[in-house]
Amino acid sequence: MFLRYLLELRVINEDMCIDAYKRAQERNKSFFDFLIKKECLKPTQLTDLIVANLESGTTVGALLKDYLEESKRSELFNEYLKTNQSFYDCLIDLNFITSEKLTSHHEEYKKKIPVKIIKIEDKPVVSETANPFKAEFLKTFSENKLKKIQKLVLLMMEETKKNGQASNYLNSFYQELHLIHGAATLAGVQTLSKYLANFEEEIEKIIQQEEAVVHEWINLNHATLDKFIAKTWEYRQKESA
Amino acid sequence: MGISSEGECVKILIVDDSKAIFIAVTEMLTRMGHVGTWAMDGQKAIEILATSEKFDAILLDWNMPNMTGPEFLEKNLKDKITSTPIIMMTTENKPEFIKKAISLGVAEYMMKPFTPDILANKLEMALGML
Repeated sequence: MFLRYLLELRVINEDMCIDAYKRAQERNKSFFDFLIKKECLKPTQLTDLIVANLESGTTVGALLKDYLEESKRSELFNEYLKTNQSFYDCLIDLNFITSEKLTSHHEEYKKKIPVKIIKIEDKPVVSETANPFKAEFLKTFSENKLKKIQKLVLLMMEETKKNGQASNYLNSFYQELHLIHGAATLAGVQTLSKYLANFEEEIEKIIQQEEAVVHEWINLNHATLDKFIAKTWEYRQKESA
Repeated sequence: MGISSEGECVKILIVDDSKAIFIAVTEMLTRMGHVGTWAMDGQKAIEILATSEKFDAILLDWNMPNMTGPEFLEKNLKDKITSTPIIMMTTENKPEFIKKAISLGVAEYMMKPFTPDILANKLEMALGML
């Protein structure tokens, strides 16, 4: 996909993607949120609409007609579309790339896309067009990655037991969490993203401490680390279902 | 312990301005049955990588004269000098350093000083064997 192409070329990096994605999410409010912001609809009226929708079965959109004139509706909707910028617009808006550069990279990308003949016997794959970030997340947080993280916890415990350099595995553990966190955020796996953000923050406090403090933390938390890994994998599996 | 001496010989490019580090790391690698080649900074590493010599992994120091580790990585991203897995070696275990190294495309991050076991495991991780 085009985003992966830009990442491979290092035109943008993952942190930029996360920032642009967050910006796009903030902007991608629903039409109702937009109407409330524009003071065309009061929050209480929206509640009334939802209640009416539940009682009558009529769609909220149809009920909205009673609140807004038709001409006003289309005018507002056009305005809404303009402000509801996409991920790529946010990349430009955040000055991560210029509009001209994005267009020229897209032109190059289109030339490079190989023509693929889909065979009927091909195994089903996660559709990249449906949610490219989700496919990337599932690829990033693979079974191999899970095994690596589990192995890192074992190595940290071994090093702690022999009074060695557990922090030299905690950095790899942190590195893997950071990569999964980035991929989860981009994929919109919000619960996992928040869960990982909290854990990353906790590790950031420990990682720079003296080895003795790292050992104490691992001794106190090794059971929590196992549970944490199991929980993150559970979230991941829900996404792949 | 990670990569054993019974396994295939792995060729490592050690990019570090300290000859003492190069000697110590090469000794560890030799015991594992591997080979180390020395580049005293990022610029020298580029020259070596431009030859026909191939490496399985690169150990890259952060602070070096002429061209630092991050400068080498930035150049590598721009000019695609090598796709060999890179292990960044530093004396700091700061989250911002780790994040920067990730964004510059390193495979692994290793704090100096390290033991032979840690070096072996980091090499296995960088080579996708762990």
